[in-house]
Amino acid sequence: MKINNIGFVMVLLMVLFTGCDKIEAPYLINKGPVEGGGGETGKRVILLEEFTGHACVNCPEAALLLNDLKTLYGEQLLVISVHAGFFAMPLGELTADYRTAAGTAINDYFGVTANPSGMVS
Amino acid sequence: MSARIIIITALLLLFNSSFLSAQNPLSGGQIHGSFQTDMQYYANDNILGMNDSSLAGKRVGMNGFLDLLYTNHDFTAGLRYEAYLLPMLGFEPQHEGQGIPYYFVKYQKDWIEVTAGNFYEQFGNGLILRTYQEWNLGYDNSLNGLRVKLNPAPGVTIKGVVGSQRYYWEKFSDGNRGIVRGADGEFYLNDIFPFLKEKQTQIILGGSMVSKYEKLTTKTTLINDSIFQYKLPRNVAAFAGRLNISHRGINFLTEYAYKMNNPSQYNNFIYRPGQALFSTLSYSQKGLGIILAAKRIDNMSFKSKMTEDANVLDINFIPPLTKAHHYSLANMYPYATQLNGEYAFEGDVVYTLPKKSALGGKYGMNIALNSAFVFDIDKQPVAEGIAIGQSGTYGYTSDFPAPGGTLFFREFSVKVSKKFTKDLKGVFIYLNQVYDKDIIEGHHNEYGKIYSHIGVADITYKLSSLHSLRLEAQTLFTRQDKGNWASMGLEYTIAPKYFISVADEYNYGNTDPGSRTHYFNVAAGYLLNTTRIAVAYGRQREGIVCVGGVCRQVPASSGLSIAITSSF
Repeated sequence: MKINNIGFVMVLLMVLFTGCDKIEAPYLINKGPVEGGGGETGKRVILLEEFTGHACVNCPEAALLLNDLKTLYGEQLLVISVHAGFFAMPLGELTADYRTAAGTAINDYFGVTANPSGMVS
Repeated sequence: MSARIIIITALLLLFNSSFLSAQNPLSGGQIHGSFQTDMQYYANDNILGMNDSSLAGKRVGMNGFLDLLYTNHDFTAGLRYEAYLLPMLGFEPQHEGQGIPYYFVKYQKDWIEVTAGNFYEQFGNGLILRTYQEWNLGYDNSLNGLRVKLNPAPGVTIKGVVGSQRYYWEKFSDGNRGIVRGADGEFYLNDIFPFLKEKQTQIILGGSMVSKYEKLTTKTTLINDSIFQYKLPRNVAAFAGRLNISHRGINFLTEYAYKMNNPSQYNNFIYRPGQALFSTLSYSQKGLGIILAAKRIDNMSFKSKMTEDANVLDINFIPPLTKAHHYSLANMYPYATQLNGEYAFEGDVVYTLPKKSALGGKYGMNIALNSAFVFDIDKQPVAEGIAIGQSGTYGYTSDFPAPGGTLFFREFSVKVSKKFTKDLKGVFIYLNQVYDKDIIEGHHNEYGKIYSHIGVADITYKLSSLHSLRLEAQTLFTRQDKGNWASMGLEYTIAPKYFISVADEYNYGNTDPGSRTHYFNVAAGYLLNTTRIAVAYGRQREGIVCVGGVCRQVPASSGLSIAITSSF
C-alpha cells in the first residue's frame, strides 16, 4: 500500500514539474516593419469605439494600447472614445462632464457596464 | 449545467426522508445553512452627486446568498445560491445575475478524501495557492475541479488539485481562462519519527507546487515602427517550501516561494521570476503575546489569466502584515498589498495587566501595541536604456536584502481596553499612519503621502442588566487629502433582542467649504436566536473596504438599507 502511495505522489510530482515553460531572452520576436496604414485606396477602415470614463483607473492603459493600434494601422483605423456610464459621471473632484446624449444612447443600447470596453465595427 | 442539475437532484433526494429506509446508510444526515441578504434603496442626494441621471434607474441594489451543507457520516455535499439583482454600489457590474456558482460533493474513506466540484484550498500560507470566498469584497476565486487528499502514513498529508477558477458567472470554456494544477505535501515530523514523539519541540515541514496552463494568446507591440511579438509561456509553475517549529510558547514559521517567468498584464509583461519570503516569530504566555513578522514580495501576482489585472482569478494570496481595523475612521486609509513588490515588517504586543495591580485596577487592563512598515523593494534597470519594469524585458534586477527607498505605508497604534466599574468599560485607540495614496490606490502623482493621527474612544455603560448605552467617538487629523474628520455614534441596546443607533461622520476639515459633508445615519435592529434583521437610513461616505489586503472601492451613497442574516 505504502509503495503505491509513494509511486502515485512521484507521478504527480513529475506531471507538475513538466508544467512549466522557461522562456529565454530575447523575449520579443521581430516580425518586421509596419506595413500599410498609409491610406491605400480600397482598404477597409475599421471603427473602434472605446467606452471610457474619467473615474476609470484602468482606462489610461487602454488608451495607450489604442494609440499603438492607431500607429500600426494609421488611416485604416478610426478610434472614437465614448464617455458614458458610471465611470464618466462627474464625481467629487472630477467635476468635468464629457458625456453626450449620443454616447449615452450607444452605451445603453449595447449594455456596456465595464470600462474600458472596446467595440469593433 | 447538467452536472449542477444532477447534484441538486441528488441533494433533494437525500433531504426527502421518505425516500430513505431506516437501514439506508445515508439516513441520519444533517443539513445546515446560512443566509444573508443586503438590500439598498438609493435616494437622490445632490451633495453626493447622486441624481436620476447618475443612478440611471438603478434605484435598488441587492446582494444575497444561501449556503447549504449536507453531512452524513463520511459524505458531505454543499451548494451556495447567489443573487446580485442588481449588485449594490461598489460591487463590480459583472456580478449581476443569479444562480448556483458553488456546489460540491465530498467523501472521506480510510486514508483518502475526494472532492468534486467547487472547493476552497490553501497550500501553506497561500503564497502560491489559496482559493477563498469573501462576501463583503464580492471576492470568490474557488476552484472547480477535483481535489484528492491523502493521509498515507501518520503525520503525512498529501493534497492534489486540478481545476479552473470562478470568474463571476462565466462558465469555463476553451481559452477564456487557465487551468490550475497543484500538489502539496505536509509532514508533521513528531508523528513520523518515533524519537520526536514525546519531545516538546514540534516540527512541521511542507512543500508545494502549482502550475497554470493557459491557451496561448498573441500579443504584439510596436517598437520604432516594427512589430514585435511576445514569446509567452503556456505553462507557468511556482514552488514553495515551508517550515514551522514550535517549542512551548515560541513559534517560528517561514515560507519561501518562487514563481517562474510569468509575463502578465499585472506586471506589465516582464519576464523576471517572482519571489516571496514570509516569516513570523511569536511568543505567548499568560497575559502576554508578541508577534514579529517580515515579508518580501517581488513580482508575485499569479493569476489564471495573463491579461487580467483586476481582483479576480488570483491563484495565490500574500498575507498582509498590517492590522485590520474595526472603527470607520481608522479604516479611512487601509493598506492594499502591492504584489509587484513590497518589503514589510510588523511588530505586535498584547499585554494584560493583572487584576488588582497599580494600573490594572480592580478589573485588569489590556494593552495592545502594533507597528507596521511597508517599503518598496530595490529595483535596478536590467541594462542602460531599458526602463525599470519595461514591457517585454526581464523587468529589473533587485538586491534581495536591500529595501527600496520609497515608503508605501507606516502605522503605529496603541489600544487600551479597560473595565472601570461593574457597569462601565471602554476601548481607547491612538493611531498614527502614513499612507501613499498614489501607490496604494494606483494614481499618477496626484495625491502623494497622507499623514494622519486618529483617535477612538468607545465607551459602554450598562444601565441595567438588560439595557446598555454605547458611545463611539472618533477623530482623524490630516493636512492632506480631505482634511480632518470627526464622528460620533450612540447605540442603545436592549439585550438580547433590540438595538437602535444614531451616528454622524463629519468632514469638517475639508479645504473646500462646499465639501464639508455630514454623513448622518440612523439604524435599528432586531435579533432572535440566529436571525438578525437591521434597517438603516442615511449617508455612507466613499471609502475602501479591504479584507486581507485585497480591497474594493465603495462610492458614496444615500438611502435606505435592509440586512437580514440567518442560519440553521
